[in-house]
Parts: sequence; C-alpha cells; structure tokens
Amino acid sequence: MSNILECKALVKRYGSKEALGGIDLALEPGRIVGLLGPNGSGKTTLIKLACGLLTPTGGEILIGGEKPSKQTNAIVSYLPERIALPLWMTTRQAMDFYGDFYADFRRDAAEEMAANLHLERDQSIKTMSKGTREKLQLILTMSRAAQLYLLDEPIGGVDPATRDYILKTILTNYSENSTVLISTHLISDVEHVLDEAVFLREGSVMLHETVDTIREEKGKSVDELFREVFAC
Amino acid sequence: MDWTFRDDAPIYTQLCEHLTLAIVSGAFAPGERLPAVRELAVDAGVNPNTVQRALSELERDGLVFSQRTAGRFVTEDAERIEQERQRLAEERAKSFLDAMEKLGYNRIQTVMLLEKMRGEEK
Amino acid sequence: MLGKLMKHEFRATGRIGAPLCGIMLALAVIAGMVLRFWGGSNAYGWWERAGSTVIVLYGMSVFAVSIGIFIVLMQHYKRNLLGDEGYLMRTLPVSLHELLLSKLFVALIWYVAAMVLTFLSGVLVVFLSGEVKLSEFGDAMQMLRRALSETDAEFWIVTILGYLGVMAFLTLLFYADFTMTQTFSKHKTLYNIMFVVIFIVLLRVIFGLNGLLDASFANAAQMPASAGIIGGADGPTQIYVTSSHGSYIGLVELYLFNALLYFLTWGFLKYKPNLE
Repeated sequence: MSNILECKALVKRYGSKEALGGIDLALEPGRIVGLLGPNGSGKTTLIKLACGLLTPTGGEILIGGEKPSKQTNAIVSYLPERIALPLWMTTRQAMDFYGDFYADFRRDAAEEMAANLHLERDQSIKTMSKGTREKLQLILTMSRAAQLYLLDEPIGGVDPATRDYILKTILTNYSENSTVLISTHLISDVEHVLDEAVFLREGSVMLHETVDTIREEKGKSVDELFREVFAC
Repeated sequence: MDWTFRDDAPIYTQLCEHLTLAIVSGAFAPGERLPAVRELAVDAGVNPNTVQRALSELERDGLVFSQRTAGRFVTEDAERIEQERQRLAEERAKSFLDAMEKLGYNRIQTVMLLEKMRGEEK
Repeated sequence: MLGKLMKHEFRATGRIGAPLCGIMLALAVIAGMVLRFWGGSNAYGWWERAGSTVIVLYGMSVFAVSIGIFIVLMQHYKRNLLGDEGYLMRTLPVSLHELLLSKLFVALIWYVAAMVLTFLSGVLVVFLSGEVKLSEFGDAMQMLRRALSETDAEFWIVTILGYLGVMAFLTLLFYADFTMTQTFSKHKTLYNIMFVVIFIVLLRVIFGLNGLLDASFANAAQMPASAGIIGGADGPTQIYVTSSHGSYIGLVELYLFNALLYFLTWGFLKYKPNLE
C-alpha cells in the first residue's frame, strides 16, 4: 500500500539550530501512530511541516505522494497544540466554518458530539473554559473524514477523565483506512491505542516499531522502553 | 467488562485472554453476536487493529466465527467452550500450585489447606 | 473558495465594522433632528448642551468609522494570519493567494462602503436638519448629474482606480509590515516603524514624485481612513489636473508597487512563516 505520510532525508533548521536532522519515515494508511519524544525533540516541527505551516530546509515530506499544498490540506485534519479557533465564534459558527471549507466535514457527527458535551450552540468560544475549547477543537478535527489526522499533544495537561474522553473520541471517529499521528510525551496514556511508536530524539528517529513487536521482543511496555531510551 | 492490561505482554494476547474469559464465563453466551470491532476497541480503550488481531486469533482457536455480513459470533459448540474452560482452569490451578510451592507448601499440604477452608465455609 | 473566504472575512470584520456604521447613521439621524428643532427651544440650556453633544458625537463617529474600520482590518489580519488563528487559517485547503486576496478585496469593499455611508450620513444630517428644502436638494442633484455627464469616463476610471490603488497601498503596506516584522523575535515596534518608513521612502524614490501619486495621496488623505497615516497630506484636496497620459503612468507605477508589497507579504508568509 502506498504511504500516506513519507519523509525523505527531511531536514528543518531554524537559523543555525537544527530541529530535524534528516528524517526518513513512512506511515501506512490505517494505523494509529504515536510520535513520541521529550519536549524539543522535533515533534511539533514534523507535524507543522506535514501541514505546510513550515517549509523543509532539505529533503522532502510527502502526503499521499504529494508535497503539502492546498490539495493535501483537504485530506489532512490537523489539531494544533493551541486554540486556533477565532474566539468570537460560537459553536455553530465554528461548525459552519468547517463545513464551508472541508468537504469531508461530518456535520451530524460534530453536532452529536457537541450535544453530548452539553455545548450550547450559540455560546461563544470566548466564554468557554480552556478545557471546553480544547474539546470543541478536538470534536471539529475528528468530525472530518480525513485520510491523515495530525494531533499535536492532544492529551497534554488534561485530567484522566478528559484524557479518556479524548482517546475515546479519537477511536470512535477516525475514519477507517486513515492514519492518526498522535504526538505526545505522555506515553503510558496513549500506549494502548497505538499500532506503532516512533521515538524522536533531538531531531532524529530513534525507533519506529509496532507496539506489539516492542512488547513481544523486549517484554516491556513502550512506556518502559521510552524511559530507558531517554533516561538522563 | 474490566479491561486492564499488564505491561509485559502484547495487548492483543491480553485482549484474547479477556475475551476468552468472557466467553467461558458466559458474559458472551454461545451463539451471541459480538460487538463490532470499533465498539470493542472504544470500550477497551485500545486500537481497533489490535481488536481485529485478537478476534482473528480467537477465530483460529474456534471460539468465535464470523459471518461475512452479519459480524462475529461466539461459537455454538458448547464442547469447545467447555474445553477452553478446562484449559483455563488447569492453567490457573497450575500457577496457583506454583505460587504455593514458593511459599513452601507441597501439593498435599495445599490440598489439605483447601479442604480445611471448604470445611470452614460450610 | 475565494467567495467563502470573503464571506467569513466579512463575518469576522463586520462584528465591529457594522455596528460602527450603524452608530454613525443613527447619530446622523439624531443630529439632523436636533438641528431641526434647536431653534425653537434654545431657551433651555440643557437642550442646547445635549444638542451640541450629539453633533460632536456624530462628528466623532464619522472619524471612528474611517479609522476604526482600518484598525479592525489591520488587527484582524495580524490575528488571523500571524497569530493563533493562523494555525487554522493557514492549514485550510486554500492557497495563500486566496487567503491574501480575500482579505485585500474585503478591505477595499469596506473602505468604499465606509466612504459611501459617511457621505450618506452627511446627506441625512443636512436633509433632516431642514436647512435644505427638498426642492433645493433636487436641484443640487440635478446639478451634480449635469456636472458628472460633462466629465469624461476617463476621469472617473482614473479617479476610481487611483482611489482603490491608494487604499490597496495603505492596506498592503501594513500587511507587508506586520508579516515581515513577525519574523523577528525582538524589537518588533522598531521593525514595524522601520518597514513602513522604508516602504514609503521606496515608493517615493523608485517611482519618483509623480503628479498623480501626489494627487491620489491628497485624495486619499481626504478619506478619513488614511488621515492619521499619511501625515504630510494635510491640506484640502488638490483637484488633480495631470494629463491623462501622466495619470496612467502614475497608476501603473502605483499598482506595480502594490504588486511588490503583495508578493513580499506572500513570500514571507510562505517561506518565513512564524507562528509562535
């Protein structure tokens, strides 16, 4: 099967600082992949390159065989680390916005999830708590029937109940044969939902392996392995 | 259902164990339709591919069968389920005996202890 | 997609722009009425005070519409493409050109709308105040129409293109300025001022002091939107009297410079994106 995401000798430098140092990585369709690494290891940079927010310094990154463009953005659903929704919008206006721009937006799914969360349709995002804003943004991201989901730190700094809600939302909604890339440094929280783990360290891929293989061969969880690999 | 996973083994093998237990204990009755893969995955908080893999194992073991359109069902072969129950029981009994052995109880002492506890329960 | 972008652009900027215009029109109505009844009740001091307050408020609202809409548009650009909202806007399945052009077009439509509405509000005040009789008003319109029919189409094309060109220049000037400043992490205010100065000097040096440019700026300076920005153009409008030949050259120069600003903005957004 052709790869949905492919990096070939991908390099990204910010001035003289190297964020990614020649990464080779290929992700197949239909997988949930953990992009794991400590802060500053290049996770966000990789995701930003994939959705065209950054341009590579060297090498290339391909989405479904093409360089990031407006065409690839149409099949990529991106959850940024911060709230990107205009704060003046209401839940309904945010849904209108997604519906207008994304042909794959499933309005009914979004409405249902918003109703389950008891979100008022005419409440503005400005008046929502930080947690609710994050949930709304996740709902919108996962309501798209995209081919590649890029989720940047979806569970950073949330309580266990919210974490379960987020993971459940991802599992329930990602479309079949699509690939979900979840970046996080909280491995134990996401380990069970992953097919594959990619370890990033200082801009290089240390390991790319299926979770089953890691557990079978090493007899330990991905979390334990991570702690060993990244022990200071 | 309680879905807890240990760290030292692949998730899919543990998922097999959980599902097998559910079948032999009757939580999933013979001939009953199993939940869809995605549903099970969300319920257990694991990856759908992992669920798929676990179900395929169970299918190979003859504990479940799939009908192309209708989904997956628990086997109606009561004998097969009974056999699996026996296997699980023996496996657990053995690990119990091993644990007792570490405490310094030989088989006879263990059995006597069990007899004594049964007497007290009555 | 350009249409959808523009729709949302109007939605985002209209939240403040539309009420501003509404307030201005409402104040125009009140001011007109006050002027009409003022004469009969000037015995009461409070009435006079209230009346003059309303008229001052109306004057301020005219100013607020022009300056306010410009500020709203510029702030919206900054927040929408360079701030957190950029994560959403710049990962949409649209090209950067579509994003930028939708903003530029919506800005130009706002300026024209603000100008038309300001003019209308003035007509409202004069009309409601009763100072001008309906027949006189009709005569004035007649005269205006006659004057218009005597002017050749070329004059209007040059005037409209000149106006749009100057407003586009002011808009692109700040788009480019904000976008380029964004790539620096320190001394942003300094760079903000520096780039604006550089662009204006560049415009003057490279393309020379052309009759039309000055006339256009003077014209634009009459538009309150630009009053605070081009400080030098403080006099009343110089009715421009350049030959049509010169006008066209000036127009082409202005639009070329606008294109330069546009591609600078585009290039920085594309290759030096800095969302932090």
